[in-house]
Amino acid sequence: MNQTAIDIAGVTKFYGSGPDAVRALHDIHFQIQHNEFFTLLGPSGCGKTTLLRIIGGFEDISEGTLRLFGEDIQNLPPNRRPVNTVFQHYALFPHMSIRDNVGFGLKMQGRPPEEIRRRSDQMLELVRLSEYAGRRPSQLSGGQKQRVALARALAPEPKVLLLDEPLSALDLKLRQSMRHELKQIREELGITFIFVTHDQEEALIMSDRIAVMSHGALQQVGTPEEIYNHPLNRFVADFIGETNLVEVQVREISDSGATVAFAGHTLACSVNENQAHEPGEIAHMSIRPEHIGITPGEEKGDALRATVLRKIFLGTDIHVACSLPTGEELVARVQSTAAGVAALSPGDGVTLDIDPHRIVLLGD
Amino acid sequence: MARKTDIRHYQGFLPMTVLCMVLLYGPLIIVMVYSFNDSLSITRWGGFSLRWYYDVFFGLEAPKFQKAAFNSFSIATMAAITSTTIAVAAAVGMIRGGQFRAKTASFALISLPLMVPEIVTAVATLIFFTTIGFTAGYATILVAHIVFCIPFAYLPIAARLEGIENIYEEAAMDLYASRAQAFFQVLMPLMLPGIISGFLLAFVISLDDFIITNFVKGAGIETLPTAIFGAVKQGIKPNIMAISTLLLLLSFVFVTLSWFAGRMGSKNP
Repeated sequence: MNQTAIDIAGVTKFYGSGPDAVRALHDIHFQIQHNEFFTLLGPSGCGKTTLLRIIGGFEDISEGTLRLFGEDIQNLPPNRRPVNTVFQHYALFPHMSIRDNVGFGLKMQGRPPEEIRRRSDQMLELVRLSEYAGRRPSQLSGGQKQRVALARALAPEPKVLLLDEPLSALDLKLRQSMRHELKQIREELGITFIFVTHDQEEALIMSDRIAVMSHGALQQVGTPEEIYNHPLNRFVADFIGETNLVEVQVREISDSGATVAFAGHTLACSVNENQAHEPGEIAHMSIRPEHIGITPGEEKGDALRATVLRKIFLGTDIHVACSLPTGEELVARVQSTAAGVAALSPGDGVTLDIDPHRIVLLGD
Repeated sequence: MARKTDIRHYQGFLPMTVLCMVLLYGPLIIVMVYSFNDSLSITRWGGFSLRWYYDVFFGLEAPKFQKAAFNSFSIATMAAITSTTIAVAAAVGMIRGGQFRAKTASFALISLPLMVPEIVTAVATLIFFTTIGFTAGYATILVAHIVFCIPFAYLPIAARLEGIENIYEEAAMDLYASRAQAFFQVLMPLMLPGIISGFLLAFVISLDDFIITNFVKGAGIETLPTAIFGAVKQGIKPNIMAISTLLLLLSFVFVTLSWFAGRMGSKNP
């Protein structure tokens, strides 16, 4: 069952040529498994859409190889790849009815008219738009167009479905319900989805695995938990969720982790696999706000003392920004019901408690 | 705010409008009115009559005008179809062909005939045809019309195509359409308002052309404009007004159709 759907090896993409060439993608390697919900995540301009367009056949590769179920497809035009795309702005054909839009791919494949009709209606049923079959795209709302685009791309039974920021044009409520719908449809059909987004929350909620990209390079590939809990570098730690990025000096390296010096204290932390650190080196560490505990009042001894700078009420949680005596600023996220937290005000002294199992030493 | 910037509140707007309207449309209205004049005179009103319309279709000069009309319409139809086809190909090449060398120069070449004085084109075309020994009459007019209609057909088609994002073709290709299928099933239907608009414009331009036609037509063949000009040289008879009114009506219909075609589908791209 663990078949490789997409194998991207050493893919590099240049726009233009000679000294003016712009490198959009740099030496990208990863594999996407069959039946996986795989997300390409990154800020705009990171190359995620270019990569998707390469898989779809709309851009060619400067260097590297692209395989689909073992077959080299980099020289196939888009119409000969068993891959369909849900475009960001839907690209529904305005001169055709919804049913004809959904049946377009099947018609181009030369399927018999009865089959096209049956399959289109089946797809419209899947996205719950059967009663709109005779309408034109201009008569539908954004969310409905989105579902038609999905039905149209799924109708020819592609091996892989590409989704280019399909939810970005929808409002929040609709986006949230479409997330679940997309996940559900994928599970129902059992095909590979490659989803492009700049919304890290969306990526965490929907994906089986995520590839984080920045500046045309792959930063990390992993499950949402791996990406969130064990970010490999500063970019990933910062881009996914909220975090405190702090500078530390490495003291000791052991098999189980490392100890570092931070704000005059020694902290134990975990180290990612395949990541080399040396004692004495200055490195960065990611501390998620929810992994910092706050106790009102300054305790004696070895505890990490700080002063409250600001407090932001977020509903169930409260954000407390504190400054350490050495000048660093840390943001903690604690439940609003936690003892004494609601009464904190700027200038109050607090003691911070950092969970050593949850902090990660980062590569660059 | 809108009230202050409304052009109707500018000083002198009304007299200026009236002056322009009278200068532009006054003569046309006079021609239309006098085409119904029951009198040989072209300036004195002698009562309402359709006799000059009858004269156009069944009078002494009717065979001459009918032949000229047939030439004009057949040439306009063929010239419009051919030039529109070429213009569609040119527009797709220019707008979808990506960046190629001499793109600006190509655009200038396509639209240059609009800027060159028609008399220059007429003389040059005549010299060219004579040099290569191409003096067939009907065919020379047709070829010349096809050529000068291309930029007129090109402009509305290119304008329409520029407004169509290429995601539609990409979506079609993604859904297994070949390049040709993507063009004929998706891009062309989306371009259709521009194509119709370009076709009608080319048709009217060809139908109406006098200068180039007069130079290249050779002896023994007339189109409507040259036939009318020939008739007017022997003195203006009211039947000329009737023909002019008919042509005016036709142009009006075509321009209106062209306008509606241009608006078609533009609301929901």
